Amino acid sequence: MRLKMDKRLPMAEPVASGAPTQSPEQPHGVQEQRVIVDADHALVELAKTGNERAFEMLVIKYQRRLERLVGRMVRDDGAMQDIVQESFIRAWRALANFRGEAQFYTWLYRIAVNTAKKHLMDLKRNPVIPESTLRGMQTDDDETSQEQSPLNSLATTSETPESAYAAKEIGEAVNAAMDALPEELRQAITLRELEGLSYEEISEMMNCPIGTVRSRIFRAREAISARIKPMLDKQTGKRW
Amino acid sequence: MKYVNDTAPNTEPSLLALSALVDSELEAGQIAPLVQASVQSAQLQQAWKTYHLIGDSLRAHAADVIGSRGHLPSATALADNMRVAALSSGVAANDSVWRWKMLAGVAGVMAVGALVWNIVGVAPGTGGAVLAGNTQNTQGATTAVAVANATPPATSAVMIRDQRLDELLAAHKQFGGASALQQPAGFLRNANFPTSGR
Repeated sequence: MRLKMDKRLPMAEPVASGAPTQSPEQPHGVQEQRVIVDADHALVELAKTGNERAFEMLVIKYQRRLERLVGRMVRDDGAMQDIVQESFIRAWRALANFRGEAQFYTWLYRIAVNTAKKHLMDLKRNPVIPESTLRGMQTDDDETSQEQSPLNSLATTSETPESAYAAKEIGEAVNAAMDALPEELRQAITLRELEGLSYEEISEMMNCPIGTVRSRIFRAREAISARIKPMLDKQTGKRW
Repeated sequence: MKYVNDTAPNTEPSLLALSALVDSELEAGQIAPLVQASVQSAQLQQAWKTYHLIGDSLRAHAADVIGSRGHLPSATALADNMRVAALSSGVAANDSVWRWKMLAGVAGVMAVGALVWNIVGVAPGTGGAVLAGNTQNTQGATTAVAVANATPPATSAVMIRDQRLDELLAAHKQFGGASALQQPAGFLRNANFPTSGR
């Protein structure tokens, strides 16, 4: 099944709204501009149709970032985890209302901040909040409380000593694998993951074509994946 | 976790494209098909998860290294350290930049200047007149005199003093009072006029 790209394009690129769909006569550059969609939009469109796996891919992509965000607002690690999970559940419930005018992460960010603020207000009113209260936290006027979430089962990843140890072990394995990488692969993935450079910037810095950069980053990831795969297999069904 | 449908292409090109998709560097036309394939393929889902995990682990490790080396301590730790250092040393944290000696010197000079200014007079042209007036007040003149400025300005002013007032002041000896303004305030501040009604 192909995504309904033509329907989505005007939302993703307002300039193109009202314009006819792409035709072969259009210059290539113009066509490229109009076709631009990102993975988030594609995943959101799929998730809107009820595809949980698509939403899970979004969760995987943004979970750590959301944890860092909420962690700066809430000191308690357990509460932070709960708020992040609650934010994803609210996002899932409200996904039908997401029109794609903003970036998905911007929208998710607002949900997480509001959830964290609500938690902090509740904490101020009642300094001791049972975990169950937070999990069951729902407001009637909230746009996110429209339907029951099939992702409630996701909200069970509390940090245990075992998972903390596994995460530590995986982190060490990743670092060991990085050390074992050839220099050009290590440099490429470092520039991408740690420095946040684009492929174009990396290609300029490493003085090689963009295709080579893409290949090097991929090979680096695959090499590291091979190293940590046994540990991940042990962690099947869990999110690290 | 096994997915029901696992028919998507699991070839290396798909993984290569997925790696680019993770970095948002995939050509627009390839995004939708690959996302669709990823949702249907357990291998691509696993790769998506692993690629993000690698990035998160690397960034977490980098943050730990920076934190442990003390290059970038948290704001709380930094504030705590500063507080402890300030308490333990007894020296203000901004001692090196707080030039209190210079400020005290400037303030002292300004205070002396203000004092001299008040003593000498507000302006050089009127200073003599004030002094002359003060001297005359203390001398207790009993006759009406016309006091002119020692150095009269362009429009010379003549102050005419009422003789009866001088007599009254002489009778009550209310001369030369020193006010809180650090200069003789003259008879007007201390004059009183007892009447029969009081």
